[in-house]
Amino acid sequence: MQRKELDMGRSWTGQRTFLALITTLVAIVLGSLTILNASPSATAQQQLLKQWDKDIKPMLEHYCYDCHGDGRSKGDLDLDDYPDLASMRKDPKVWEHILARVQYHLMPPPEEEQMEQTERKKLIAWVNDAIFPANLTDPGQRAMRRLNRIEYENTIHDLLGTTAPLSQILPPDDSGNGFDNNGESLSISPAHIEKYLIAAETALNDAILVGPMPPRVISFKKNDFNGDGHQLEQGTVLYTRGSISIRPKLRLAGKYHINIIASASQAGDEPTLMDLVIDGKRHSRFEVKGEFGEGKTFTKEISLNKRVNSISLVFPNDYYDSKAKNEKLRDRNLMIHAVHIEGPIGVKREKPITHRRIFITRQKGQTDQTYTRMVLENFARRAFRRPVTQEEIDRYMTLSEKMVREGGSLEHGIRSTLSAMLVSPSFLFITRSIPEKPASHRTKRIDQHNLANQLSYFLWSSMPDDELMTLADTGKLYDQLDQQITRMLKNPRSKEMVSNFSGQWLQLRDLNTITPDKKRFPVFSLNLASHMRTETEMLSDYILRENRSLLDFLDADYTFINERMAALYKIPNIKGGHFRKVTLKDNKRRGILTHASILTLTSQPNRTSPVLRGKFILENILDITPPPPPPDLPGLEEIHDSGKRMTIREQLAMHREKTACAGCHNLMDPIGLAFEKYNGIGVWREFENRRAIDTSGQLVTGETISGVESLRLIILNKKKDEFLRCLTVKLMTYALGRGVTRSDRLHVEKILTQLKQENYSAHSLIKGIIHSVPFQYQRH
Amino acid sequence: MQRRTFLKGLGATLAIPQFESLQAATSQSPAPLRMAFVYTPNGVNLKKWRPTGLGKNYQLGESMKPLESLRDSFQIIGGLDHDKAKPNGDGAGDHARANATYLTGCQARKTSGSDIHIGVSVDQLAAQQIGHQTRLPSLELSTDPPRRSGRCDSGYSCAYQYNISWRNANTPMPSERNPRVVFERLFGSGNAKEDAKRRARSQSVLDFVLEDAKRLHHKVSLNDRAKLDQYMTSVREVEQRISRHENFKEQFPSMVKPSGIPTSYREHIQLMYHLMTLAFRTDSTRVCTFLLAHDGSNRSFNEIGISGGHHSLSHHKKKTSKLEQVAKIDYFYLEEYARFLSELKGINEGEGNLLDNMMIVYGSGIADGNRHTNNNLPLILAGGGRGTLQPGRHTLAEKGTPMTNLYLSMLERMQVKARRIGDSNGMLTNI
Repeated sequence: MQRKELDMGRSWTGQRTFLALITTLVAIVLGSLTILNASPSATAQQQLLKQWDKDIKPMLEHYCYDCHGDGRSKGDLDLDDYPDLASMRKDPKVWEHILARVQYHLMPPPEEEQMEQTERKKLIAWVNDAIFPANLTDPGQRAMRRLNRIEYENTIHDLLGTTAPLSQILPPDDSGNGFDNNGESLSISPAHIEKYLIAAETALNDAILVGPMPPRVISFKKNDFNGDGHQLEQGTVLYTRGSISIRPKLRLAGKYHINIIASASQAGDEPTLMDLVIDGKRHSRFEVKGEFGEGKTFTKEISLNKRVNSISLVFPNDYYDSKAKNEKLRDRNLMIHAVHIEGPIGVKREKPITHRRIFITRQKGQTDQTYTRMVLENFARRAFRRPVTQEEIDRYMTLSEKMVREGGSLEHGIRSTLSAMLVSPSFLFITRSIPEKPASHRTKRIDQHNLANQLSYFLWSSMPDDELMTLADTGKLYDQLDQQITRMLKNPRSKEMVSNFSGQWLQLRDLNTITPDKKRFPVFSLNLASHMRTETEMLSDYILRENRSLLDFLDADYTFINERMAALYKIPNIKGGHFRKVTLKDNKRRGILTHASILTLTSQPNRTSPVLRGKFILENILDITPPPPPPDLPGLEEIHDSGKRMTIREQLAMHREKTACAGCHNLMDPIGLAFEKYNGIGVWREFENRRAIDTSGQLVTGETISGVESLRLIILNKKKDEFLRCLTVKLMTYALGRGVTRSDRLHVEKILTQLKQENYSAHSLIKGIIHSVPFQYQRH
Repeated sequence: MQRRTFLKGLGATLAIPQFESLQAATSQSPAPLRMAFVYTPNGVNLKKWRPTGLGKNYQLGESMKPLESLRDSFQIIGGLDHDKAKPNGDGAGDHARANATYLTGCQARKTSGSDIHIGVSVDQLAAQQIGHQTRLPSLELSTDPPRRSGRCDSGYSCAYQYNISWRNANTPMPSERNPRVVFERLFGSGNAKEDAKRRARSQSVLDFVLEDAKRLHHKVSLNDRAKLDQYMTSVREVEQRISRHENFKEQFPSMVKPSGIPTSYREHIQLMYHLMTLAFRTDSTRVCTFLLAHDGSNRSFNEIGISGGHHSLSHHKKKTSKLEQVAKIDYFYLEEYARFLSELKGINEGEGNLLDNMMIVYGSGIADGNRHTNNNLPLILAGGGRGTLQPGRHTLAEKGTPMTNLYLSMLERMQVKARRIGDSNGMLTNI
């Protein structure tokens, strides 16, 4: 189990107390924002102090001072160190700890007197207000960020129209705040620059065809051969008299080069022969010498009719003499490795579309210089995803001319120049130009092109398309934002958001690398793991793109499976490998929490792990980060190392008897244990070691549960807000490329309010984030 | 097919060094001193690791048996600490810290994204000063599998947990795990003419984009400038590296170019060690780091019959069965380390062998994986340091000696000027 703890500035609670505040703040017209002072105004300050004296301090004295005050400082916390607001604000980390522990019911410890729920809320709200001031006009600090390697590859593909994989060339990205598009964590080392140079050349070589266009080549390998023979690794062998034939589909009649790759073994007194036969007529004969298995090329130029039906290669002179003195000269065989038909020769062909997209049609009479300029300008605007200045193009012109001078064609020069563009910061970074500064404004709305980029990297993980760029060019993107969001979500490119977001939020990406114990789970394979991933991804896709209720994540009475997954789930009558939407008859697989994907991800290689499962749900569904075990715990398991075999439930129960462990394990274990009827790869079971499995328990917040079903209902009915808030924070983190902190809580609450009014629809969340101040504004 | 052929060749090298075909790149005499750092994650089974007795006549621990025949070529130094890998008020995150602190000796700033801050690592300190003497200033290798998604250890950015080598306080040096890519970085694509042309093109491109970045610099906010600075520093460095290229003789090893990443973990490790050997043998670099796996790695070792994850086993709670398996993993890693040392030792250089002219640190930032202790860390220092080290012993440093004191002593031998590194407070003299 990975120890995890509080993530500073990351987890936070929204407080309903703020809703009142929000309504007043929303009234501020967004176009002309003047930022409010980051710390509370003087009256608010007074208010906080009054509250401190009246409510908060007495509460702390009553519940906390026994251990953390009056000279006692358990766990190095002495609340006497914080006599006033200034001293508290100096130590936000400490107060972050305090908040989390109070929020998660870890403090006061279980054996001590507990706070009333209203008191708890009051305390949390006060600390939030006093120490982590927030307001609705501050977009927060966000750094310019480089493309991560997925975005890099997608952008190149959209820019050039190529499909060759590139992301593996680049170093892996360090993620921050749980996502690999975190601006601060995406650094650039010399290794990156080296790889960017390689990736740019690779991509451009793929797209551009320098020099004359070679004739078309149609290749035939052993699997394309009809007729006799036996397939070996390198090709098809004719052991006896016989032939293979191919059926070329030619577009044009004309002269063609037929290149035959063949080899032969030798025997007898004549060389191995190979006849080239076209539509039943022998055209020519070759002697195939040399080593068997080492293919040589035999070429003929032939005039071919467009309707040519079959081209055959015949082995006419089989020979076998088992008594020949030289063992190597007993058997005569022919092997055909491949046939390539090249042509028609001398016919001018158009260059590939990827090439023509870069080297756009040259106007009559255009000089090299004006043509180069046109090509570079066209490319730069798309590659940099913003308007380019004449001065910029001038510079690139000089580079191109230099490259041509240093020995190369115009095409060479331009290709190298484009290479430079793809290594330039304007391509690699999602840049934000500095806004002009009216003295009174400390924040400014990002410009139209920035918005286009933000949108497309959020929803598509790639560059803006022509429509977005045109709207940005004409200054209409802000006006048509909602229509554009709808359009972008309909576009298949938005599957990138689903796969990248859910792949990290739910850790589905890790399904590629897990290694459950083969002996314990013989049905498991990486192929099955990819099916598991597909199920959860398709559900996520359906919810997010088809605008379903976000609660479907927890409660969908449908899922997406194929035969293999249906077998795992014991759902009858699903045939075939394709995934389809299936309505569930019972509640065993309702919502993602009972998907095999997540159940497998949260298991140890050889068993279930209620702790991991509990922790997963806390962190990714309820936005609670349980603190890690304190260091130097005595080895609990020694006690029961010998003796009878204990179930995981029993072992965990022993764990919780220790006060030091009880707090957090009370939080995690009951949740995880509710899932015990799903084994380490998510298969349903009623018994373990012939004992009926018990899935009952009590949550730290008091509710009793009997298993997954009641846990699900409790989350849906009583902890819906926590789930929605958790999802909002995660998606916002992904959309902004930065951590969402306590200071963002008003923005989050605003989105949540809207979400509730719109029945938790997925698009309301996505639009809410895009319309939020952190998305559209930047600090100076 | 290719890989198999190569590995057969690799087996052969253990008996007879096959590099005589390689022109001794190090025609300068005496041969240069090189250093390397190999990181093994999650601590070790200390009981089976720790040697008994001190001085020359000590007994090797059980896990270290694979090194028995090499005992004159390495020393075991006990008692070194990494205090900065401790929480020191930052709470959990021992794995991220152990990884990040190992070569830096600095306390990682606890952040899950913004303002990453640690310190320059010992290998990079060396690379910055002596890197110009070789084709590559340094080489960063790893055999870590593709990364897991989601958050890393307890609120630390993943940058800390996956990188041991740091260019400066906020730029990690990512390591390469594909042997083929490492090979091409060392020896080119095999087409020298094409490579030379590519270098010339790269040179012009880098020149140019540097200017791009400068122009952009005053158009972006102060906050964004830090990112551009990082970009510019890296561009300049690659530029210098390329322009230095012509100063060095081209090298063409007889090794077949690896086809990619072997599926077997053991073969992967062997291949990386072999490439490291080649890099040193050809004097392509004098500084190398090798992250076997990041700290906290939970990989299983099916090749030696261990289906549980390394990290979860390392929390053994003193359970015998788990401790046994941890020891088996330690043994597995040391077998390969021993093979690497033998390979170095089999290569003649001047009057001695390549290992005589090396200093190789092998160890972990955590001592006991169960309790995450950072004192008295498991450490093997191999090599003769070109006559400056006294291998063949087990010594114990004075209690409370920072690991970085050893690094500082190594840097001095590399003729790298450094007053301190991380938390160092002096030199470690008895090595």
